[in-house]
Amino acid sequence: MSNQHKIKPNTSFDIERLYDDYSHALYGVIARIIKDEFLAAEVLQDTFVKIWKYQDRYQNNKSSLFTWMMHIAKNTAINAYHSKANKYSKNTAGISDLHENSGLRVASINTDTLDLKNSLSKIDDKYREIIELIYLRGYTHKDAARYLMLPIGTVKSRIKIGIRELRSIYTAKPAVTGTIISLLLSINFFTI
Amino acid sequence: MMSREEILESGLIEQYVLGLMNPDEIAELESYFERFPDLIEYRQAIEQTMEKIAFDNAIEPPPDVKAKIMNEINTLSGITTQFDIKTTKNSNRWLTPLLAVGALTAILFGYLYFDMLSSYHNLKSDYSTLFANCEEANRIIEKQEAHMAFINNPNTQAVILSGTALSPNSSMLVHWNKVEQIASMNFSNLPPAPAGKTYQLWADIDGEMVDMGILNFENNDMPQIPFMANATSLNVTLEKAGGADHPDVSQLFVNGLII
Repeated sequence: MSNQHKIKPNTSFDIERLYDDYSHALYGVIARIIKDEFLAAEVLQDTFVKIWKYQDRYQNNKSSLFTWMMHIAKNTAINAYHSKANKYSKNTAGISDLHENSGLRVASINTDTLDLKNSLSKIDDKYREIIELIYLRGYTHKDAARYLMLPIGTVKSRIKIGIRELRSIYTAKPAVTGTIISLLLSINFFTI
Repeated sequence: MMSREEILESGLIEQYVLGLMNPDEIAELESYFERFPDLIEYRQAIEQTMEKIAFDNAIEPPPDVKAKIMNEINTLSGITTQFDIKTTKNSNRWLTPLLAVGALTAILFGYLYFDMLSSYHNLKSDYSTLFANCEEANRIIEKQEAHMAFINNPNTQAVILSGTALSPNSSMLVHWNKVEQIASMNFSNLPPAPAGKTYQLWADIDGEMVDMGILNFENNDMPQIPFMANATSLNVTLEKAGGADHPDVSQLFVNGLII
């Protein structure tokens, strides 16, 4: 602490505002990768500190801010998961235990266990399960392929089709946005 | 080199958005974005879709994380102001009711405080009065005890002065202590002295009437009287105001012997 390095990024994100707007969306993924709530909270903290620290590395012509932040969140979570998995060996279930869980088929990752909501549950299971694993639970496509016992090409293809289906659901139903807004408003109503 | 359509069909943009690519693949795809700017629009559409999925599956983080983040960032940037971990946005839903409860509690305690303060002042005032009364009572008791001790002293004798023919119903009681050499008048029912007149006390010493002073009954206390050694009797006459050098024996109201 005697020679504490002071960091002052050039650009200035309003971290408080970003936290208010995005923390729950990022935490949704973090908490699905890291089951331990205490550790998940630490990962969320690390994520936002990194977002602040590396904000000048963000390039808006390469990705949206949310995509960039989600990548940081996911990578931080996966790294934390692996370091924890290394530390505590085989006591935790998850990504690194895929081989042992290979008997546990897709049926176990259903909408109940993942607490999935709305749109994702409206697409075909074979697309949904891949998007859940990869987008919400931090699996690589290789992990997902191994887990689902599918060729990696099929996984990649299903990612593409699944996302397109979701996109069509969202664009076909602009009411969804309205629902989200009204939902947020009603939540706000109760919180005020 | 891939065509625009091949890129779209490859699913590479989806993998890019999902963060499934290695740096080389990323660099390659980004070069395609430069070449086919409309691919960027497609990428943005995918990003929006994924963002919606994330928001659909959002989970509220524990309430203290925000303050921890702000504190860590402040520490890293050398700002000393620390966020109060208890008052972050995520606890806002409790803030209003908490403030309301706090305000009501404050009002209640404020009321109780002033009510108790008022009671305290009243009690303090009552206590002062009682304390003063008690002091006064103690003073009287001490005086009475001293007086009782004087009266009960074996060396104290009661000298009863009886009314003469001039005032047969009058009487007076004096306590006389030759050892302590103290005299005390303790009872008198002489009629009030007429205007311009006053009662005067005399001691008979060796046949001489010696002046013992004017008896002033104007206040409720008995008059203080002196002790006279060798006095054999006490006598009260009615004299002109201011007293006389010699007693007017025709105006002798009460007298009594000292044995």
